[in-house]
Amino acid sequence: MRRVVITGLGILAPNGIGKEPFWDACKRGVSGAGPVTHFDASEMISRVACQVDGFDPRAAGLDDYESTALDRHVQFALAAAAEAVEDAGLDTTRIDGDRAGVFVGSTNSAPTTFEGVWEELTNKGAESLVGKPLPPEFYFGILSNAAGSSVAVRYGFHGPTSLISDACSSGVDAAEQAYQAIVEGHCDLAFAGGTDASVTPMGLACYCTLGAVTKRNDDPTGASRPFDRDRDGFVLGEGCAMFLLEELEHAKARGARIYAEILGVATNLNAYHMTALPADGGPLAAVMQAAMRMAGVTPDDVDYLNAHGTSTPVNDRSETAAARLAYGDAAYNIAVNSTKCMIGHTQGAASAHQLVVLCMTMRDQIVHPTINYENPDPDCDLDYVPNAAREMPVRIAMANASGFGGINSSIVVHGWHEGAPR
Amino acid sequence: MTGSNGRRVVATGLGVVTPIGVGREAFWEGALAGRSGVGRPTLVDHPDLPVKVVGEVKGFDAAEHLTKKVAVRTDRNTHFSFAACTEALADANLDPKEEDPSRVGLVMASNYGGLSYFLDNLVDLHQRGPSFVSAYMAIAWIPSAPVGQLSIRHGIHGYAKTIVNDAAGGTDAIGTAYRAIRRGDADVIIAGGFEAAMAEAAMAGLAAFEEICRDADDPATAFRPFNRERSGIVIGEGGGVVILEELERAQARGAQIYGEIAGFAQSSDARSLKEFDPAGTHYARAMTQAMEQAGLAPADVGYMNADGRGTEPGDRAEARALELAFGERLAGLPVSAPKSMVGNTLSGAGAIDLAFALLALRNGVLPPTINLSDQDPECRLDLVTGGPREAAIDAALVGSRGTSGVNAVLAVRKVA
Repeated sequence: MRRVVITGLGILAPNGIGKEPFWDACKRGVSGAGPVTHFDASEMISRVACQVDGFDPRAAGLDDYESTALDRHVQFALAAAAEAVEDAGLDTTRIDGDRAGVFVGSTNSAPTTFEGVWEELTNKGAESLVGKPLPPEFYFGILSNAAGSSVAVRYGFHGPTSLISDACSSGVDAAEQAYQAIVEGHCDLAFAGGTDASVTPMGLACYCTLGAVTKRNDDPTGASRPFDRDRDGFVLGEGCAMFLLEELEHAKARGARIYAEILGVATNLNAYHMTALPADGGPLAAVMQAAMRMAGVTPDDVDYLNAHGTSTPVNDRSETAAARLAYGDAAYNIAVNSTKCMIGHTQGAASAHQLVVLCMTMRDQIVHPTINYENPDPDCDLDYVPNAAREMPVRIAMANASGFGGINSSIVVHGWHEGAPR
Repeated sequence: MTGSNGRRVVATGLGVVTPIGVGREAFWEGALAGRSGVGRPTLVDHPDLPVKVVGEVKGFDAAEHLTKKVAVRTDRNTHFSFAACTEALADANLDPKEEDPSRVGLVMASNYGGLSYFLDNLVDLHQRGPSFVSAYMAIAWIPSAPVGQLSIRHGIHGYAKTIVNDAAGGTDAIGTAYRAIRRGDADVIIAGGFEAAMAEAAMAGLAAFEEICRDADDPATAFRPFNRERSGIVIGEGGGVVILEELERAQARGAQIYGEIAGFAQSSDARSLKEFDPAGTHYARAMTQAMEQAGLAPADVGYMNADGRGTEPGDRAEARALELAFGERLAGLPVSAPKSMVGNTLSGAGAIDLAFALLALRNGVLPPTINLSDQDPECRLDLVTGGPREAAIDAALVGSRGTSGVNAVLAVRKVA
């Protein structure tokens, strides 16, 4: 059985661009939330977002074409991929490109480019787009699979390249595709990750009318408060995380530093409702158990769970129930946090961001806090690592994701200390 | 390759929604007649529409396939998926609600999700205000809407994915499902893909893509893959699903079997977002790998369902890839691009092309390439044209390519 390890990380998050700034902010409990500035949100009921501010595509090494023609979410993917390659110490000219793949998750692909051009040329919908002079590269700017393909083009990766759009589970599901492609021998290494840049008028408005986002507009950094009694919805975020996944022997042969091994990853469907969740968390519990079964671990082995933890009333309650169901009594011995308290809900990037957190947690043996946890909710009764980071041994860690449409994913990873065997 | 546990995967049901027919019987009848589903746009009413040649699904009434409640919360792409899914399940004589729901999955492809829903709401957002955006906008827009809605409709709790990979996406989705069953993550998966991009602003956007056919005197003959004179890609809408099932359980319940999905491979030209590798090297590698996985030599393959891009560089790159993958066998290999009848339905294309191939396998008749009056001499292929061709075949390949140079190939064969 071929084994799959994570050897490189790249990240753009609302509270930090780059692996170390992001992780440092997480440990210190720094929120990336603020008032929406990407557009005028004054008429929206939610005017708070977690934006990636200060992203400069050229400074991130993108060329003229990439910096001007491609959508923001693709630029994020290219920038994060570059960091992951450097972090992995991988010379991409010395690998077999035919054996290298790219799997990227994204919920909405390219609304930044489309909405921006559309708004400008149609005078905000007053006129038709027909007959308007579209920018010459418009079609490639809105190409929905460009995130994966652009990375493949940049690095000459000729193996499988695909984009996965499983709403909020996209990042972990892209990792699942990469994991399986490596295990089954279709490639030896692959980029995997997630990216979304949909802090756009429609990106936010659709969640406003759905009632899924926070109305705590006067307190942006306190707005995302997973598991707190007074949580009132998620904070829309954007960003990207990319990893290099490698077959273990491939990584060893080049002396790569290994963050973690992926032991198990599974997805399933609620088949319940497009946005609401079953109160008992049954399907999410089932997918957590499936991932543990695949990993060959029991709840007693699990040290840490990075929860989906969106800060919506229903998710955090349902997810807590799922954790109790999946872990049994062990649930109360497992440290649980949510990174969304600091970076908001970064959509297709969310579970990729969570995977970066798992790697850094296991590297440093520090669990980041769940900030804004002030008033316990009796329905959310786990150890959420409230408000202060915790040093603790983390050997086996998990991350959960639940997406609109009722898709759940869960992943189990094992820290890699001095080549600790499975 | 590892991970099969000896499990094999077969197709036991088909459902299609295409410009040449809604439902597999009308579809196959249209294919045998060499009918073109391409015409003038009727779903979008604008005098200066820049794309005047499209493959629309005609006479599709969502009310026949969805409850009114679900229909208003979903876009046309999801409507298509409901129709095809119901048809395919009936064809397979399978009700997911009578199965172990955790062992049944859904893998679908979609590029643009609920595009019309998005565009209509975008106007409302900016012209009337945020409160006029539909509460269902978020769930109608996302590419994973069909998977979510179908899971609720049919009580499906198992493996799930939504793949976005331009016109290779449907083939990727079916290949992904095939691998999931093979390694044991599911026993049954409904797999396929859909696209519904017939909207005014979408047509304006597509017109910015230079490979697109914008106009032609006779729309029905506009899409001409492998012909010397071409007018580019004709965009179509629709899609389909295939019910994939683990072989032994399909046999145990006496299911009809169209054929075995025996191999799947992906590759990327990784050259630029705009061009295919003219040498066809990477596409050829995917073909070879799919054949190897299926245990097929080039001589065993009786039919190639080609991608049929309909552009000079695209068709020639495909011909080069076929030369590399099939060598001397290519001279005697029947090839066709039945896409010439339906248009390029993007995420719908993989499932429609697989339906063509499976029906060819079952019926011993190969669907034609239409509009081929003067074959491009650079494409030295034995193209099935001038009507369908009778040929008893045991195995076929389905090749798909997407913009940005992504390739996906499925190998299918009769169950021995």
